[in-house]
Amino acid sequence: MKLYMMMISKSIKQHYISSILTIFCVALSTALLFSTISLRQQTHENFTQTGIGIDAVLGPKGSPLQIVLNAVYHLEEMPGKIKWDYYKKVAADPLVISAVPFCTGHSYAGFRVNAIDADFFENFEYAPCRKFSFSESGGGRGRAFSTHGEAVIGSSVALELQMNIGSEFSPVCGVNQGDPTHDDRIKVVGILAATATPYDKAIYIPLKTFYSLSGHSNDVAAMTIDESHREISGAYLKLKKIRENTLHPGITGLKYNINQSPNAQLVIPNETLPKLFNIIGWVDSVLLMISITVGIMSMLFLFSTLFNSTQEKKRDIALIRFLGAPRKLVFMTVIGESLTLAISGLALGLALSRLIVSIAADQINIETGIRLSASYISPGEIRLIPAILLIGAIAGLIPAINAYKTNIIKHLKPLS
Amino acid sequence: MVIKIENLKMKFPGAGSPEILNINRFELAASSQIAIFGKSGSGKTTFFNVISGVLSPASGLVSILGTDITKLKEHELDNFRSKNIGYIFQNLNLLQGYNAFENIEISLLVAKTKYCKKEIYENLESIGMAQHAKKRPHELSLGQQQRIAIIRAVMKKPALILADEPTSSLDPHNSALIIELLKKEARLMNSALIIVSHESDIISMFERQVKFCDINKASYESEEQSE
Repeated sequence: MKLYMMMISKSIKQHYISSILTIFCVALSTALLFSTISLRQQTHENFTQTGIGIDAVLGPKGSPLQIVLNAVYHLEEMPGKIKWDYYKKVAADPLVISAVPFCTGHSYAGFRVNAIDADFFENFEYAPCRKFSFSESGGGRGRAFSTHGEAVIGSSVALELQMNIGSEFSPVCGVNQGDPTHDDRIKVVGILAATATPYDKAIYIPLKTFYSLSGHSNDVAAMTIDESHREISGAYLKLKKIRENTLHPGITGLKYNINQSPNAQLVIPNETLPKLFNIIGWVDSVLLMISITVGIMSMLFLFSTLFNSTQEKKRDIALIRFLGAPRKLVFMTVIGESLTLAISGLALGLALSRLIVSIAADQINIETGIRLSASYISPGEIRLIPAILLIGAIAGLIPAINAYKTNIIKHLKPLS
Repeated sequence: MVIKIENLKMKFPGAGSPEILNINRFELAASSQIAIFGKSGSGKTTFFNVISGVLSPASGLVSILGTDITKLKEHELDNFRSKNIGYIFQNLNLLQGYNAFENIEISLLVAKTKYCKKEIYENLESIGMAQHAKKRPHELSLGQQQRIAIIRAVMKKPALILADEPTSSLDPHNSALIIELLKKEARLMNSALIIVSHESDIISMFERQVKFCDINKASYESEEQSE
C-alpha cells in the first residue's frame, strides 16, 4: 500500500501544475453540476411544500399561477377581488374545514402588508402540522393582533427593518414604487417565530384596519362594518381529505362549481405549482446541459493530463517495472492517480457548490422568502458522487492501459 | 551456482533475422565477480536482459539460483527479479520524480524487503551521499547518480548484480571509484557481480575477465564475419 500511495503521490507531484489545473477543472464542473441540482431540487421542494400547508386558495378570476404566487409567495398582484358573501358561502361548504380570508395589495419598505383574519395565527398551517407561533426560542415575541391599528410582522421583516414590538409604520397603498402612503400609524404587537417560508417576509394587519385606512374611498371604508359590500382578495382553505395528501373526491365537484361561477375560482397550489416548473423547466434543462458539457470537458482534460504524463514518464515506468513492479501495479497507479485527482476535484467542487448555493440562497430568500440550505445535499447529488468517481476512473483507463503496455526494453535503452 | 545457462538460443523477431545469442554453457558461482567485454552489438545487453528475465530466449535453460526463469510467468519473474537481481544501467538509472532517498526506498518496497529509514541513510552516509538524500536526479552529477544506483541495487541484498557499462558516462577517476564501490558493496552483500565494459582500465580491475565471444557462439560468428 505504501508503495502504491508513494507512486501516486510522486506522479501527481511530478506534474503538479497540470494536476492542480485538472483538480480545479473537475472542481468547477462539479460545483456547477452540484449547485444546479441542489438549487433545482431545493427550490422545487420548497415551492411545493410551502403550498402544501394550504389545500386551496379561493381567489378571483384570472391566472391561477398569479393567485398562488400572490397568496402564498407574496409576489405579483391579485387579478381582482371576490365578494365576502361568496367567500362565506364557500366557507360554509361541508367539504371546507377552515377558511382564512385575506386582502393583499399594500406594502411597507418593500414588504407586503396583508390584511388577514386573526384566525390565521391560531389555526392556519403554513406547512403540514406546523402553525405559527410567537415563541422566543424560534425568534418570535409578542402576540397576535387583537384590535384595530395593530400588526404582526414576519421574522425576516423584523430582522431586515430592525423593527420590534412597539415599532410603528404607515403602509403604502400599493406594491409599486411611488404608490401613496397612508397617514395611519400601525403598531407592531407581535413578531412571528421564523418559519423559513415566504410568510416570514410579510406584515399582517386586521381586515378591519385595512378597510379603514385613511385615503381609501368611502366604499372601501364602508366595508369595515358593512359585510354585505365587503370584498377580499381571497381566502386560504383547508379542505376535507380522505387520507393524508388525498383530497376528498367531492372537491372536484366543489372546484367545478366555483370555477363555473362568475365570482371566483378555486386554485389548488399542488396542481398549479408544477405548471410553474414546467414553464421554467427549460432553464433547468439548459443549466443542466451546460453543467454536463463542462463536466465532460473536465473529464477529457483529466484524460489528457494523465495520458501526457504517462507518455512523459515512460522511462520511469519502465525502470519501476525493471525493479520488479508488476504491470498490475503500474496500471492501478494510473487509475489511482485519476481517482485521486477526481476525488480532490469532487471534494473541492462540493465545497464550492455549497458556497454557490449559499450565495444563491440569500438572493432567492430576498426575492421569494424561501430559505434554501447550503448544507443540504440532495439525493441527486449523492447519486452523482459515485458517477463522477466512475467517470474519473474511466478517464484514467486508456492512460493506465498505455502504462500497462510499457515496453521495458524499448524505454530503457541507454541514452547518450 | 548463481547462474547456470545451457544451450541458450535467442534471435530477434522476424523471419531471417540473425541469431543474437547462442550460449552452450555459462556458469557463475556465488559471490564471484567477473567483467565481460566485447564489441558493441555482440549481444551483451541482450544477455543481461535474458538473465534478468526481461527477454525470453527461444530455447535453452536459464537457471538463476536454481530456478529456471524461462518457466516463470511474468508476475513471478517480476517478483523474482525484484528480490534477487540488482541492476545498474549505463545512465539515467534513477527515477526522475523521486529524490535519492526515495529512489532507494522504492526498490526496497517493490522487493518487499524489510528496511528502516536509518539503514538507507547509513548506506548513503557510507558513500558520502547523505547530504544529497533529498536531491532529485537532475541535481546530482552522473557519478553521484551511479553511486545512488549502486546502493539501490545492493541494499535489497540480491544474489546477483548486473552492471551494464556503469562507467561509460564518467571520467576515469570517477569510473575507478564507482567500480571499487560496486565491488566492495557486492562483497559485503555476498552478491555475485557481472559487469560489462569496453574500458580496459575497468576490465583490468577484475580477476576474472571474459571475452563475450568466448561464451556466445553467435557473437563469435558475427565477429568472424565482420573480420
